[in-house]
Amino acid sequence: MGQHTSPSDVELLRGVADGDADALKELYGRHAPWLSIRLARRCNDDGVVADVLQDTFVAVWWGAGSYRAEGEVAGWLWGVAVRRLVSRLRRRGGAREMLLDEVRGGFEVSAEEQVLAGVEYGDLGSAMARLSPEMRAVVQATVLDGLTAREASRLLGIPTNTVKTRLFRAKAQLRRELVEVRT
Amino acid sequence: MTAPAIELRGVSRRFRGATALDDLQLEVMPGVVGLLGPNGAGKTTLLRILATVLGADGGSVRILGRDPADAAERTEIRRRLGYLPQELAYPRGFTTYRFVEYMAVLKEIEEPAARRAEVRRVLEDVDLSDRAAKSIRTLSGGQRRRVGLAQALLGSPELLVLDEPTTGLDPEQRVALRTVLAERGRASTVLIATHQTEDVAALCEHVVVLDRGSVSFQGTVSALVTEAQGRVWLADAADPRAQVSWRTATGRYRNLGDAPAEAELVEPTLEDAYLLLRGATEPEAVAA
Amino acid sequence: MTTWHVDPSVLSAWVEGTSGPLASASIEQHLVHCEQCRAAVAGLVRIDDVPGAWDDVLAEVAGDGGLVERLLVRLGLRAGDAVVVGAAPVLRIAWATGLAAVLGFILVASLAGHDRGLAVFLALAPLLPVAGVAAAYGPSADPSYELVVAAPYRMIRLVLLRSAAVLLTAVPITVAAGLLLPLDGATAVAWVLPSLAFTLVVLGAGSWVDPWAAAVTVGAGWVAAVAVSARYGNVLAVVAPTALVGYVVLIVAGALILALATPAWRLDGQWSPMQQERERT
Repeated sequence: MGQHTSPSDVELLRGVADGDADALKELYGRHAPWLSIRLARRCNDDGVVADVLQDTFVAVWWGAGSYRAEGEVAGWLWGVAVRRLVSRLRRRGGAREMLLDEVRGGFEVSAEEQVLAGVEYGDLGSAMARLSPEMRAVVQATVLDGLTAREASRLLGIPTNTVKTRLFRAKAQLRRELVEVRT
Repeated sequence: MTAPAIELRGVSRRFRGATALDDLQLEVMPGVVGLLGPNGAGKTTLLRILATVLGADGGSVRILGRDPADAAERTEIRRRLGYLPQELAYPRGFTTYRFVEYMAVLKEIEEPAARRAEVRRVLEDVDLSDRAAKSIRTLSGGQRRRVGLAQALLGSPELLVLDEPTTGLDPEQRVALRTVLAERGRASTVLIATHQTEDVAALCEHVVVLDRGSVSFQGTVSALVTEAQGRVWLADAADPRAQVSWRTATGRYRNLGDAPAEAELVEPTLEDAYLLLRGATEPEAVAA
Repeated sequence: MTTWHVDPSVLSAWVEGTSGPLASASIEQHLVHCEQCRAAVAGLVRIDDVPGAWDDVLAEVAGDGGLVERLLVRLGLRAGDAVVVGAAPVLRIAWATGLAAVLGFILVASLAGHDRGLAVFLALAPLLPVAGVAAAYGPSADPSYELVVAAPYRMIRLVLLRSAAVLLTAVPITVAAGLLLPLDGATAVAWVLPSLAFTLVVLGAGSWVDPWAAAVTVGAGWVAAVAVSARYGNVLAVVAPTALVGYVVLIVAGALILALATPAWRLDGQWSPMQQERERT
């Protein structure tokens, strides 16, 4: 562990793989907060989120050795967490825990958010905004959260084929819009 | 009038050839009680009998109002008992947390969530929470002793039997431990066998002194100390008339025994009283 | 390394759950790469509000009994009983490797000539479960035995649970090893009867003496019997039908003694007398 600067996430993960529970605690302190929020935005049941978060870090304890140093530790952690969420939702018998935008009463893209989208995604961002909520949910689950079609279908509570169809249509629409922008 | 927690009448216990306990009479009321005595006096044997690990050869034993010779009552005693043996070794492959949890299972704390909460509580009490995930092999001697103490505290037992609980603890840890034990003593019976008279003085209202298998003193700490009144004095040199004397930190000598007329008497401590008591029964063992 | 960070009010909105989907997706992607913004989130989230508190994680991490315990729970054993079984000094990876090593030895020795191999197999195979049971509890095997005695948990239950675990692992594996040898099927299985008999003898005797001592005595006697019958040319005599009947009788008798002696199970009361004699004040 670094004496002068605090250890990096990669170093902490290596420590966890060596059996250092203090390293796990440090990782927990750094990542549990944002993971819990991101999970909560995909599942409105606090109990499930709590269980998933706990499962995630226990899984990290046992599986820290399987982290291949590609990509950020944070990304890897999210991968572990979202898969735990999916498997837990599956075990609960398919009850749809997802909150889609329309359930929460739609959305309005504020000026800041538009700027944000523009910075992170450029034109793609605004094109994304014009997708329907259902298509956007599928894009988020597969492209952004990194789930497979089957996992996304479990998360969203829709059939796998529907996921694939919507993703296909969403990509087609995005491509059309981007081409239009360019020309 | 509360019932005694422990009642021993005419209890004896022999091992191959040697008599460990001889016609022992003992009555212990709730609170914190110290058990003093030299090695070989029978402290550990007595504690083992009280922990229902050993049986008595003769006499009657009643612990928490029950007879340990009867199987059903013995189990009832064990449900209310916490025990820290003098020598405690741990099986391999255990972390601090897991060993204490194993003991919690053996103490019949069945519900997993309640069990975990209880394990965390006792680890907190002995200040080992940050060592919870560490293998016991990596702990120091004093820390291992505290693990043993933690498991004894599980379930807030009515009777705590502790054999040398402060061995290997540094002064701060010993003071911290006294706080925990004093608190337990308010609600239950805590019996501490120890060499450390300071622990007894700090914690116990009552003390039992054991000598060659029987009780040579049983009463309050203040009563024992009072017996040493007028028999402790300071001098610039070791007084040959004293039973025992030693050099103190100030450079002067503390003497115990029959004080001469012009002696500079001082307030006796429990240690003084204990040594005088020992000197009365076994002068050769104590003389400097 | 980007120098752009999420605007604090937008971040708060995300934490509260009121930000729009696009902004949220954007923030979430950003957080994967930005330590500073993650720290900002940690500042915004009240740690008591974070579900799945660290204490629970630590409990699972520090209290995990390893493969054996988790497997037992998966197989339906109650969590408490799984802890008791998993805590057996013998039931660790060491048991599996030890078993494999001894079986390996038996197989190798057995391949060195039919008669000698048969004698080695018959001498050692029944003793594996016996050794396992003797190493599962008792003052010689368990350093914390004094504490186990002083606890209310029924000793007979502990002994039987651990013995069952030992038998259920040792017997099938040894039978499988026996079938690999050039033995006829009956012999490969017949050794189970004396093995069960000896296990019950050790369990029963364990209430009076150290189970390790009983196991050593029984083991020595058995090896001698196998050696003697091998010397007289018929090593299979120890598993002849008449002998087998004898073992069955021993098993029934042993089980009866165990059942009847359980209320007065000396182990439950105190240390074995032999242990007590070794102790001085």
